[in-house]
This record gives sequence, structure tokens and C-alpha cells, in this order.
Amino acid sequence: MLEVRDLHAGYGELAVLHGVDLSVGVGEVVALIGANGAGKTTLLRCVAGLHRPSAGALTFDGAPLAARSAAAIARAGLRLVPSDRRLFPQLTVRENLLLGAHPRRVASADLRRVTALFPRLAERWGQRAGTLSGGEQQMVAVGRALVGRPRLLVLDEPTTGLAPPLAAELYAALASLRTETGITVLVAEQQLPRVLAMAERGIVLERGRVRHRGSSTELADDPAVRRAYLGVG
Amino acid sequence: MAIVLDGSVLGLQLAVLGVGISLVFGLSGVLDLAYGAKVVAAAIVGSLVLAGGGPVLLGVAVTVGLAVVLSLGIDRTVLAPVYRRHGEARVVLSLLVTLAVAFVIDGVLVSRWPHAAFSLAVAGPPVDVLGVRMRGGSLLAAGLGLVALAATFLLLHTTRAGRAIRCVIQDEEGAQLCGIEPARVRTVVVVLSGALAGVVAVAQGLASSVAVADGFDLTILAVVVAVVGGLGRVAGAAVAGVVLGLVHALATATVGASATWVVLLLAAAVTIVLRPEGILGLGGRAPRRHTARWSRRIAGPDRTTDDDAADRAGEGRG
Amino acid sequence: MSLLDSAVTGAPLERREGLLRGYLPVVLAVLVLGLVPPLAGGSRYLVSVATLLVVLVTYGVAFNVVFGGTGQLLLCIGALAAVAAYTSALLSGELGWPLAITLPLGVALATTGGAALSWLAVRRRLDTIFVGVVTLTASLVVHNLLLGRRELTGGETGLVVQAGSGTALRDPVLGYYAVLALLAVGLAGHRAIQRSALGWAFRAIRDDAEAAALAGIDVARTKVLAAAVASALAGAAGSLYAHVEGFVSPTTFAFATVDVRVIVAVAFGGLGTLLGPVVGGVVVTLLDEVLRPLGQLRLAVYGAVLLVLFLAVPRGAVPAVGWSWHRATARWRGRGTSPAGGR
Repeated sequence: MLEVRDLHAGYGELAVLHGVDLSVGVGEVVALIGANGAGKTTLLRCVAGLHRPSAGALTFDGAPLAARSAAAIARAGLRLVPSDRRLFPQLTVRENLLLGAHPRRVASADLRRVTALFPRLAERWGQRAGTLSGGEQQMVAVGRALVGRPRLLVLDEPTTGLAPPLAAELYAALASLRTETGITVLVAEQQLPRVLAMAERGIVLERGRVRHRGSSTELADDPAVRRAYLGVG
Repeated sequence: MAIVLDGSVLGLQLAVLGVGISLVFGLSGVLDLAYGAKVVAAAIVGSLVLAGGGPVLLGVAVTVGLAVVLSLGIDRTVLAPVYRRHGEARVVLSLLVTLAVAFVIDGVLVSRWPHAAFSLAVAGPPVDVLGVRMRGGSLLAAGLGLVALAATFLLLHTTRAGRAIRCVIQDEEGAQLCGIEPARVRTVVVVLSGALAGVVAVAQGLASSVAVADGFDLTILAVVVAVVGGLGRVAGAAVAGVVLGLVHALATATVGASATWVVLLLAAAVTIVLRPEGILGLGGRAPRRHTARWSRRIAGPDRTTDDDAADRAGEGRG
Repeated sequence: MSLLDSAVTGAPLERREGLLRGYLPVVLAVLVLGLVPPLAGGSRYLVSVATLLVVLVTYGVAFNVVFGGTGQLLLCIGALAAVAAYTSALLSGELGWPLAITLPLGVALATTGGAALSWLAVRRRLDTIFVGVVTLTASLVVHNLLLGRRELTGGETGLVVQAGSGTALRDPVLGYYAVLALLAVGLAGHRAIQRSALGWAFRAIRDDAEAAALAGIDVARTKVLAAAVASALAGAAGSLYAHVEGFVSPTTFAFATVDVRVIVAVAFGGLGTLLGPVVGGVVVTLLDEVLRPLGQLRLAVYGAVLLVLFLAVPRGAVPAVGWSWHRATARWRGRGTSPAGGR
């Protein structure tokens, strides 16, 4: 579904990604693992069309993404939920969600699905997004992506800045979403146990290069990965 | 009563000016110092149509049309490199570039038609409004301003294009992630802002006249109104325009014409200092976050690194 | 870091580079400008153009310190100069006070005004554009007061400055050297700031005021200090010019005459760089003079030239030259680092 081939990217003279390969198949959940500065966000921003890679190929459903704008990529069904969420702070929760399907109207079934997934959003329906807590904002951001009926949901560190119970709640919602709809997900994360519990495969990024790849169980058992990301081993 | 009516006539024009410049700033961080020059250019060309014996409606159409074309033309050519920069660099470069554009427009107008003025005389006797005798032209100007403002609000708040505009104003990247094309939204806004410049030209022509030398003052008024309204906030700019119009009328009546400007400017400065978030306030949001909003929004993707993103994510906490 | 790099980027030189080398760019710039009267061959016109140029550059240094240094968009340089100039001219003219008292008094008033505006902006945490508009309205208020109080200021027709007539200031060439001396003080002062701890504080604040505060820099005090220094310099330049010229009018100090040209000059020369105002001021003045024969079309061509210049070198001429120089020499020096700063 998503193919990344030999991707190079950077900011000015600073190179961040040095030839990354990655693929996500239909129905898979793939975890992108790495420390701060490993290049996870840059990689996802390239995928979403927000950052122009300096070299390499990106294809979504076999079609190249290079010439397409970020908005066109979003409309094509590849939805990024950035780690800073990028909500519209002055609009209400409801209005933020309605925008997810632009320029279409949002089906009420889609809205119901979001409130079923995140019941607290129903309580905050008419509240401005800027006044929500970090966890609630993250739920709105995920909900806004979902009403666009994405075929590939891309999450960038969805639990950054969230208190542990909220992070657990979010992952529980994502897991139930996954079992209900079989949606394809690419998720960048630093919290290994949580993400590996949901993902089938993982890719470990270190300083802009793929360091390990394998199934979730392989990665969880790999002593190098355990040492680096779990603090044990 | 006369003060209120006079003030409203002027105030509605100021409101349209402020909304026109504020929309573009809110969207892209470009503070258009050529805005007044565009108004004057459109008005002068309209006056040429009238002087050539063209019908009034054609003159009006040419005025508004030219303002739109100028707006789009400038946006597509000289501002293109400005849009490639981000953050404060974009704001500063936009000031310089639009200032230079204003010089070019003013210079051409002054050298070609040094004495031209645009004025739409309205025949007929003065009309009594609430016991005050008003010139027909003033009333028409006020009506035009009101219609233009109402149309802008309806567009922004009831249509899907308007919702897209408001989204891009609040968070350009967030809008992209929802499938909204900022470039297309910008075109709509630039056309709208140009049309409003044309409306100001026509309204000013109805109420009094537009002279070649008026461009600089119009720009300054537009900037002051937009900032008093809270930059980028359309409703704020509209209210600020009307309020400053009333202050102007009140000052003219009480302290005399010569000190009027001083009073008006001081009122504007005090409002900005007391309420930098705009005359309407923010409905509970802290001003600090508001002022940081546009600078963060146009900070742009190409300056973000992974660590930046992680840091910024922290801001949203709590 | 080489001498040129440092002059270009405004980065403080390390102290071991010595006093002489640190101030060499200032000395060179002042020496070059000092050659104008002998080369002008007794042309009063050329000397008066050069005087205006030096005053413009001095305003530019002031603007550069406050905006380039601390990011405060003070759009009232002309108004501050007017306050100092009119104060001195009126007190000496009407009350007969000596220049030695009224000149410092005018400068003190301008300094207080600029510092007060800055303090207000800092207190209210105004953003760049907001500071710009508040100071812009302040300068329009001053302009309108000068126009309105015609019984004192002569309004639009202007004011003949009585004080100073018969002194050396009225000799065109000596007057020129007087304003040049002030510019030398301004440039040397800017250099001294760049080399001091205050220079680091400026750079930190311009980059990120919040981070600067966390690093222990008193942001409010530093900003107000920068505004006070700039206002004092602008006031002194305006006042001195009034006494050298012997005539002032609101137009002499109007926003369109002073601030617009200052912004254009500093932006073109290179914001925050030591020599940016000098280069930009010379280019703006030359452009003015070269385009004069075009008559009414002058403004349009001026605008078009500026447009091209701004789009071609958006960071300013001095950093652009410095950058190419650095590129050219980097290979030879065998390292590829880029010069910092010079936004």
C-alpha cells in the first residue's frame, strides 16, 4: 500500500534521513521506532507531503506521491495525525471533526463511530479545541483523521505528552478500531511495549538509517533493541 | 445623532479597509503595505472611465475589477518569493516588498495623472435620516460598506469555502492534513481582499473623492484598524473600523479638525496596548498564545526537525 | 572567525583579536565618508547631500541597534529625532537657552520617549507587528502635533532655527564633520555592544526571548536599554542636523521621509550587521540622486529597483557579500562552516 524507497531528506545542509526503505501492506500495523532525532517525524512528514525529500521514491497504492500536495495526499486517503496535533484551536470539537472529510459532508455514522471510540469527546462536543487537555486534543486529532475514512492512518507519537492512563486509553481505542475495521496503520512511537502489542511488524530507525526490522516479537526479544528502548537486557 | 451617523459612514469604510488587509495577513502573514495604493489605482482608472463618458456602473465595475486583478497579479508575481520564506523573515520581507510595490503604483499614478480624482456624484436632494440631513452619496457609501461586510461574513461563516479559509487562518498545516489546499484558499482570499479594496474606492468616491496622493494614508488607516481589531481577526477589524469612525466623528465635533487625528491615533494606540489580542478579545484564551499563533503557524514545515516537533508537542500539554 | 566575517555577521570578536582590529571596519567607514568634502571640490550641493546621507546612516544605526539587535520594530525614528530637534530649537530660539543645555535636553526627551514606548511594549508583551503599529501611531501623533501647533512650530512652513547661527555648525564642511563625528560615535557604540556581553544578550533575545530569559538574561531591561540607546542616537542626529541645516519642518522628520528610507536602507544593507546601514544608506542616497532627472516617474522607478534588490538579496547586501566571500575562501581555508546570524 505504501512504499518508501531509498528516501533521503534533510533541512538545508543538515541531512536527517540517509536512504530509508519501508513498506506497509494492506491491513498491516507497522511500528516505526526510534529515539528523539532519529528521523521519525521527518519520514512521516515526507510521506504526508509536508516535507519534500531530497531523493528517493514514495508511492501510495502504486501511484507516486512526489508531485502531489499534502492536501491531495490527505484526500487520497493517507491521513497523518502529527505529534503536535494541528487542531483548529478556535473551532469546536464538532467543527474540527466536520473538517476531517473536506470537501465532502461528514456522514453521521462516521461521527458516531468517533464518539463510540472516544466517549469523552461527546462531553466536549461544543467546546473549543484550544481549551482541551492534551489527551483530548489527541483524540480529536485521531477522530478528525478517521472521519476522512483513511485507508492508511499515520500516527506520529500519539502518546507524547500524555499521562500514562490517557496513553493507555488511546491505545485501547486504537486496538479496538483495528479489530473492528482492519484499518492499515503506520505509527511512530518511543513507548515500545504499547506499540509492539498492537503492531505486527516494527522498524527501528537510528540517526536516519534503518537499524533493525522484524516482527514485533522478534524486536521485543532482540537484546540490542531491548537495551536501547526498554532500558533492560 | 449626527455624530453617530457621520461616524458610521466613515467607520464602515474603515471597517472594509481593515477587513481587506486583515484577511490576507491572517492567512499568510503578509501585511500588504500596497493596499492603499491598490485602492487609489482602482479609483483613478475608474475615474478615467467616467471622464471618458462611460456609464457610472461601468466605472464601478472597472474599479472593482481592476482592484481584484491588481491584487491577484501582485500576489502571483512579486509575492511568490515571499511565500517561500517562513516566520518573521516572511513578515519582514513582505513589508519591504509591498512597500516597494506601493512606490511603483504611486509613482506611476503621480507621474501619469497627477491631478486625477475619483468621485461619483449622486444626484438628488439630501435625505433625512433620524432627523439628520445626510447626503445621498454618504448613505450609498455606508450601504455599500455594510453590504460588503455582510457578504464577507456570510462567505466566511456559511459556506464551505469560508470554513476552509478560517481553517487555514488558524492552522495552515492542520488544514492541509484535512485535505484543504492552502494555495486555492489563498486565491479566494486575495480575490476577496482585492474586491474589498475596490469597494473602498467606490464608497470613498461616493462619500467624497479619492485623490492620487491618498494611498499612503489609506494604507496606514487600514493597518491601524486591522491591528486594533486584532491582526487576522475579521470581526475584530470590522468592529474596530466602526469604533474608530465614531471616535473620529466625535473628535471632530468636540476638539476640532486639527486635533482629530491625534485623538484618533491615540485611541488606536491605547487600544492596541491594552488589548493586543484585538478589540473583541479572545473569549477566554490567553493573549500570549494568540500572539504566538500566527508566528508559529507560518513558522513552516521546513524549519521543523524531529526534536522541534517533540518540543512543540509539549506545548499542548495540560 | 575572520575580521570580515565578524563585521558581516555582527558576531562578537574574541578579545584576543584586539581593540584595533575590532574597530577597523568603523574606522575605515568613517575615513571613507570623511573624504567626501575634499573630493566634492567645494560643491555646497554635494556636501549637503552627503550631510543628509550621514544623518540617514546614523538613523539607520539607531534602527539597526533596536530592531536588528533586539527585534523591536521601532517605527518612530523620525519622530524621536523631531522631538529632540524641536525641543532644542524652540528652547534656544524662544527662551534663549544655550545649545549646550538644550541639545542634551532634547536628546534626553527623545531617549525617555523611546524607552517609554519600549517599556510599554515589553510590559504588554507586544509582538513585532504590534510594536511597529504602536510606534507608527506615536510617530503620526508627533507629526500631527507639529503640524497642528503652528503658533509654536510654524506648522507646515517649518521653523528657522535661530540657535547655532554664527557657530561652526553652520559652516557646511564643519557641519558635515560634526554629523560624521556623531555617526562615528554611533558605529563605535554599536561595535562595542556587539563585542560585549550585551551583544550576546541581544542575539539571544532576537533568536528566542523566552529562551534568553531562561538563560538568565533580563529581557525587559535589555530591550528597554536598546530602545533608549537607539532613541538617544536618533535624537542626537536629528537635533544636530537641525542646527547644521538651520531649518526644520515636519517633513524633515516625517515617517515617509525618515523611517521608510531607514527601513529600506537597513533592510537592503543587512539587518543587524555593523556596516549594513552605511552600505544601504549610500545606495538609497545614490538611487535618489541618480533618479532625480526622471521627475515624477522617480518614485515608480525607485520602487521597481527596490523590488528587484529586495527579491535578489532578501538578507541584505552586506551578508550576501560576506557569504560569497566566505564561500570563496572556505575551500582555501579547508573548512566548510557557514557564517552564523545575519538574518
